[in-house]
Amino acid sequence: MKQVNKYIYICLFCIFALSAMAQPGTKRDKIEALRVSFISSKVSLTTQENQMFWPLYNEYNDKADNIKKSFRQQFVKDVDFNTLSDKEAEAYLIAELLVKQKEYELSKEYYEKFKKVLPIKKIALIKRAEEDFKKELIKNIKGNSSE
Amino acid sequence: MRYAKILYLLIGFVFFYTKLLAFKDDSLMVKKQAKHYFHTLVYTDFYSAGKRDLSDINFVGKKLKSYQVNQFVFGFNVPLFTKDYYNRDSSVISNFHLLLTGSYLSITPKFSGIAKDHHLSRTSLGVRAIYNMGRRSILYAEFSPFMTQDNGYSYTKRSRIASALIYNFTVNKYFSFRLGYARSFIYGNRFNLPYIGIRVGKLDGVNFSVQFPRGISFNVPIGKYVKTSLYTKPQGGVYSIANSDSLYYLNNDKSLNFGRYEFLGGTRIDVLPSRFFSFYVSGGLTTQNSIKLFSESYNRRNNNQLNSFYSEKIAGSVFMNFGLVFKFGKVKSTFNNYNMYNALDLNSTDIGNNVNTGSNQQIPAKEKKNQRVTPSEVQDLIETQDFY
Repeated sequence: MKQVNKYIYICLFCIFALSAMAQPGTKRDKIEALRVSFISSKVSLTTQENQMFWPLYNEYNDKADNIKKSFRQQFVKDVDFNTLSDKEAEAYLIAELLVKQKEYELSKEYYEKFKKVLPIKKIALIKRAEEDFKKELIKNIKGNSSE
Repeated sequence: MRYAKILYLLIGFVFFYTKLLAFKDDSLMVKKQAKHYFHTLVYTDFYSAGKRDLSDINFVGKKLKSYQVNQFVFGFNVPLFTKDYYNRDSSVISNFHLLLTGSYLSITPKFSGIAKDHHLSRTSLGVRAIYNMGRRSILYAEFSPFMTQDNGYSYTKRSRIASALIYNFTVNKYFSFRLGYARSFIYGNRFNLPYIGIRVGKLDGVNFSVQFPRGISFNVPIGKYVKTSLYTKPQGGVYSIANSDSLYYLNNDKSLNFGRYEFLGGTRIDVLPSRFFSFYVSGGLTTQNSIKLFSESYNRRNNNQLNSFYSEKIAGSVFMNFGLVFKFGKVKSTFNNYNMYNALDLNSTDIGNNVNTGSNQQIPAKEKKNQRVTPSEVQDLIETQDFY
């Protein structure tokens, strides 16, 4: 019984320690889950379309997210541009252009893939749903800032 | 010479942190993608049931007097290899996952008639292969050799193999069924069992699942951080036990096999405070409790179910169970990918011990639509022009 008690104390300690530093999901997971649920509610896909589209869409988003994350890691988020040299500022701007180019290439590649699993109209509807989702987010932010 | 090594290290450190080792041609090094769909899991599980009297109708029951059991499991589950495959037009992603599994189970059956408790252990190290065929089918194979021992009696070491082969068909997000085979010891004996399972309801929502021999459960998530379930499942195994108390006297066996199983029926609450950690508490009643003792020499040439020299059905008891699950690593997204949800669910049970490893808690929780977001959370999604 003493040994069981020892385990219980160790576990309780772990639970409290971990709960204290807990971060319930990343920002990305939260937004991704919101977006997926928003798109699902706006565009109805058949079972087969669901099964083929979502793995591709997740892969596309993972890659797009990776491009942005890499950029953010390379250039510190709150960098003071007044203190940068011209060369450093140029490197930043070129990297930003490269991000956009990579994003464009990725979108093009996956547009071709989506075309193979969904009717073109549904891809357009998903694109529209993504835009609407952004609008919802903007509304949400505006609502928060006005309070 | 000693200083030269330190100097190399320092130069390497400076080059690494000033990013002078970055590729010249590409001013934007894209980070490596997550390799796997499954997190590395480390889990512990504690189980305890009450004391019950044994009948005194035979010699062994009289000698043992009463029975109470405590169980502790520590296990892990590591993805070793993941490969995505695309069909010719790269529109369907199928994937293969190879995982390393291992667990250490310690059970202490307490018999008041025996002065010294036996601490029985079961150590397993195996592999698990999951092939998601991309559309609706998944193949799952598990091979898990294990060793049982009565700790402190090295001559009781014995090895056995548990395995499973399951085919999962995801009809749609609300329904899936499974068929297969499992070589299992969870019913307190060696069994070759068919695996039959159906699930009704979404895996990321309310669902009812009947999985033989794993168990039956009705699962209800409450928000993002709490999952509840009502369940019934078998739990047990076959362990080596030293015959140091002369429980079997016919063939002078030094080592015996101890088989036990019980059906747990109760409720379980999983709490997920962080994406890297979750814990659960569970309680209820045990029914159909049974313990058995098998002679090794008598069963030497027996490749089927073991024949017992002592078997007893025991009264039910209250049980308490709780556990911790730690998740590590970055994984690929599986949002709305119900085939992968099923793969995660298949990986959620350590078949050898029938202990939930918490893998299905990796299934992304649904978000409420009207949740508050902050600008920093959506900075990657929104361009300035979107505000016009």
